[in-house]
Amino acid sequence: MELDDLKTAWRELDRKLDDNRALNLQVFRELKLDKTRSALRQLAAGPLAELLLNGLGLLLLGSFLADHFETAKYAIPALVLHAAVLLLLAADLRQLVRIARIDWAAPVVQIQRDLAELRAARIRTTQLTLLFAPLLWTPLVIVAAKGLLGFDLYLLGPAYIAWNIAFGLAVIPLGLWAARRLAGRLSPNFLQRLADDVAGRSLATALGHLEEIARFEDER
Amino acid sequence: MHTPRATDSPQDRFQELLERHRRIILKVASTYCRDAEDRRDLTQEISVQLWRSFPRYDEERSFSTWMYRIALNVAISYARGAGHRARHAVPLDESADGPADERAAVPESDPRVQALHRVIDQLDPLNRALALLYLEERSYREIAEVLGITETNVATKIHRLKQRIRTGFAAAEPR
Repeated sequence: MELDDLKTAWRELDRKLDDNRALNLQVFRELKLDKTRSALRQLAAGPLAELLLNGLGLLLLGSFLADHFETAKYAIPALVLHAAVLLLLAADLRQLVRIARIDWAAPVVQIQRDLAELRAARIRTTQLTLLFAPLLWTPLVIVAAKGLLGFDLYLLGPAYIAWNIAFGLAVIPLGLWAARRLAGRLSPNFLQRLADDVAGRSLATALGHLEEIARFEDER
Repeated sequence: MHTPRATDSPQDRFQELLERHRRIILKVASTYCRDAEDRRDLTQEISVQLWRSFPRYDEERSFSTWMYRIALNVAISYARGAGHRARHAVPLDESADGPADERAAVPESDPRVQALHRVIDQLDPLNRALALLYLEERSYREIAEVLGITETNVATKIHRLKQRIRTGFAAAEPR
């Protein structure tokens, strides 16, 4: 078998497409050009939802800060949370701008590189957020207890606060260990994705795609 | 190049172009999706993306090049996307058309088509795009334009692809 045979086989597939003309036309006739549920449009769904959530968080924290700005024991944890939410908000905005700039009619290598980079950036953000979220646990409970219940958590004593900090620190390696154990084994898609993100499995895949693209561009 | 009539609405012009070049979409979809339902979804996904990008299409430029870029970009992203799609993204080991049950009942009998399927199955998404454009007998210049690499690189890659195919065939030949 030679290359010419391969081209003949390709033409044979072409002929079959013609044989099924009626079926193919039906596919295009049923096409709803304004359909809203496009899988590609969902690229922006995640960052957009996070943007709204973080925006809401920023508003609530802003309001809390305005009320307690002169009380350092509340203002400091609220400022820490505020800074974290601001960073997340900036990351979401950056991703949305990059998604909006995607021109699907650009050359394949360029768009695939952009998409792989975008995916890698998104996974890194998720990974960092999930890994460092336990560190924010203590300021979060202090602010939430005061803001939602009007309760001063410091009244429980320094030991309680220290235990909370220790708990936050312990959760990081524990979470990492659990994610590595569970990566590739969970059935609900979103849990699987989270475990893969934390364990670095998704990032490895995205970086693998970037390497594949670089190899493809290599002229040697 | 497309010459629009003054009376055509953008949607009419688009539908006409889509109909004229639908074979490109079908070929791309069948290169990246094995499952009939996925292939249908991908066909729609590509068509919708083409329609969304149509207002930015420069009519001075080749419609097929523009269409190949979008179709391949969408197909590669689709194949690399959700897990359920990835499971089906081992393309072309069935006939490129027809209902799934019909295909299952009549397995591909042409050994050349079977060999073609085997070759394409082994390629990564970008080399699959290159193979598709090569088999469609597009010029090196157009392939370079669609993929965004140099013509020299296209020539090198096609040379390697041919070698790989020959080696693959030689290994598969009965002794």
